[in-house]
Amino acid sequence: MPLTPADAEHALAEIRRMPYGTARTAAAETLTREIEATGPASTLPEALLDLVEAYTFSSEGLRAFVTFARLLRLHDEHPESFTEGDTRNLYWEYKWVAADLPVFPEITVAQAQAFLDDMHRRFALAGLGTRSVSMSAFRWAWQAGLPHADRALEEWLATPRDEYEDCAACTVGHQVDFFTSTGRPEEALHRGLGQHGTCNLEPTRTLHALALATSTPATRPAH
Amino acid sequence: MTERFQVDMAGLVDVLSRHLYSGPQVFVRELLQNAVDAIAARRALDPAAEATVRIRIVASDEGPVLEVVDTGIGLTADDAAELLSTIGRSSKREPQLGTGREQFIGQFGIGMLAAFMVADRIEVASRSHHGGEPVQWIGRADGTFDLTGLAGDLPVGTKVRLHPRADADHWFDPHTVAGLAADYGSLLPVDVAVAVPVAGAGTLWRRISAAAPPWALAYANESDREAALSSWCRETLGFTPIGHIDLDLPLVGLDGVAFILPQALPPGSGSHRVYVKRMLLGARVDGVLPDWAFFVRAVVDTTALTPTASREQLHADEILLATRDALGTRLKRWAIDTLSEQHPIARAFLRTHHLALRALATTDDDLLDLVSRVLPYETTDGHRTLAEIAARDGELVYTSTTEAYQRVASVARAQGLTVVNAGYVYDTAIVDRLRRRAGWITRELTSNEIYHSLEAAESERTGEHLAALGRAQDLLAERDVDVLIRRYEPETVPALLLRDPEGERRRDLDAERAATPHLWAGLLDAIDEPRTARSRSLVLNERSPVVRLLLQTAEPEVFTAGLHALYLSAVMLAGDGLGTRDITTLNHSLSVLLASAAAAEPA
Repeated sequence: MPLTPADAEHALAEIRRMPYGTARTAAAETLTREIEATGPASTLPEALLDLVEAYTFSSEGLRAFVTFARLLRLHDEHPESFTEGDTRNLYWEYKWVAADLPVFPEITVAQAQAFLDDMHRRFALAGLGTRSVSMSAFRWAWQAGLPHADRALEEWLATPRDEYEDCAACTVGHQVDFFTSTGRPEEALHRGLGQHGTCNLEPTRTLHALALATSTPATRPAH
Repeated sequence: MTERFQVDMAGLVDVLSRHLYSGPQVFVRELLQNAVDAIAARRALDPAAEATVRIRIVASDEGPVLEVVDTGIGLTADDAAELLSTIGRSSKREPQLGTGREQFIGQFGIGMLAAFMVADRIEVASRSHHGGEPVQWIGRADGTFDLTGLAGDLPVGTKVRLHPRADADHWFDPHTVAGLAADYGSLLPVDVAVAVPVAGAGTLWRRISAAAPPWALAYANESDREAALSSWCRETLGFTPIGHIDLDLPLVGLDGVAFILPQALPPGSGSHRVYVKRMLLGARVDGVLPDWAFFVRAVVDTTALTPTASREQLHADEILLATRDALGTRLKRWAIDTLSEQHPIARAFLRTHHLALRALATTDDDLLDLVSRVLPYETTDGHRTLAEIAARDGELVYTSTTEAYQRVASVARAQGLTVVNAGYVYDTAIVDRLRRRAGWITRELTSNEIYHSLEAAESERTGEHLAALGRAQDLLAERDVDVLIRRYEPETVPALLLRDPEGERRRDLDAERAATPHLWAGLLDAIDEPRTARSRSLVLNERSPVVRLLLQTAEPEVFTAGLHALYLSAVMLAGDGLGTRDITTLNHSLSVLLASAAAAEPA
């Protein structure tokens, strides 16, 4: 018999309690397939969103693109099956998927740009803030080694803050990382000293990048 | 002993940027607002005065400096001295941007305070329209300032120079400033220009303000206007609209347009782009339109709505509520006027936003009538509107789920019975609402109705297959399925599974009663559903060759297998999945059928 909505919710919650990794991914895949085949259709967006999360946090980002594409198609064809929470989660996870663009060499520059353009179009259409979009565009330009990375950084920082972007601490951390990895220790220091926030990544990332930055001869304190 | 509070400027600015404003970018708006307020104040006295604002980034020994020059009313030495005290009492900043000098001074201070989010030193050089020598005010982020007279011949107006804070220099990029100024000030009624570097041409002034909002400009004809609004929407809102709806409420000084989204979004409260006196209040302002208007994004300019302290949202006051209702009425009026006609926009709208229209129909009788007249439904007689079917048949027969519709569609079509698939979101609510309207008869299709419409089987008269039928009924009784034989088209459908909602409710009741027989002193026993039939009926089609073969089968094991296979394919045809037990049954049936076929083959 098909799952009832309550059963499906319960099964999804069980999987969310598992640690990220192959077991959670396998469980999420199985449950999503079952819901896709026999319903309940109202739970499908949530199942797909959870599957994207399972892939993203177990280094299987390439698979997340397929699942995310399915989610977007579902969203276009059946917007009514998305609850308010599903919709919020869809736009929240968008930047995770975008973050994997530079990770996979099989994704071309043109394909990544098309992904980012579509992301921008969808945020604009939904009337949402686009800071997570300009952050994703910057991160792509930087990690793909594109010449417009600095301009993309300016554009990101000039976009108004909104509820879909990373936290304030991460905003500083990304910049410090960027300047360190592109061999600009002074700018890294300049931004990094403004790091006052904490989250599950920060300030460790900033401190790590700053340690690297200050260990280069050009900026090492002279004493 | 009485002492004065010490205000920590750095702390105050931090509170502003973190908790009041959405971010430091509003400093551009505040500087623009100061400039246009000053110009308005001067023009009240001298309508012919120049009205320009020029913004540029200039290099200095200490790095980039942002310069904003206006031709406004200017500041006297007394006005400038008041700047500091103003910071303390500027909360009285009036939403109605008056053109009097006092309001202007009152508002000037808070604009400067916002500028400290990105600047650690601000220089104001100004000469007043009222005469007197030019003055210079230099304020610093530590809360100190100098006020001096300024030698030289300064034109009437004000020049503000911002020196960046160490962590805010990224705001001092000409492209960033031009982008922000255009975002906030593109509809301002004064000439605003920003200097931007152009490859191969040095630095050029780029005018960022238009003479009038795109909806208020004069166009040669309606299609030019449509095209201009569409392209403005694409550039400003990032999508190409299906069309637009003019919004105009002179009572609250509001005008603008609602752009119809090119794609459906999940229902939810939308946010809209709002200007107050032609300055952008926010691109995502809540509460301007009713929640059901999730198929449009509105752009409006208003003079009477009150901004919140951050000037980025609107106060949810009575004026806003009345405005929202009035705009809602306007949108409904548009829907009724436009969608009733064979207009290209009407077709695109119905295709894209039928969900929104259905949602609206459940709340409003005029829109209910509209939906019944214009929205095509899937029926066994092709795509038809509800009104069309009701007019022809006198009543509306529907199924409340898509599964139920699929189950009966092929047979109902063959029988010439028109059934509407009302299985989409809001449809049942729409049909319920129609039932309460005068002149509408609506009825949910029952399984009884289907098999009463089916022709009696030949065998029923002759009693030929009575034994086989009896066996089939016994076999499926444990699944609460009755078996009947009828003749119907198409003959490619060997068996049809009909559901009886009453029978299903009775089955639930029986199950509960059996599980907890003594609950509530047997209260459940008192609820006696009619028990005329089983909850589902398998109707075998006598026209189908497969069924005729089955009924002639003498071998009991093969008969059982064949019946189960027909039953389970009818379950799947009805759109239901198979459970584990069903799959076991199906496997077993197939192996029996194959074994029997193998045995029949000549050796």
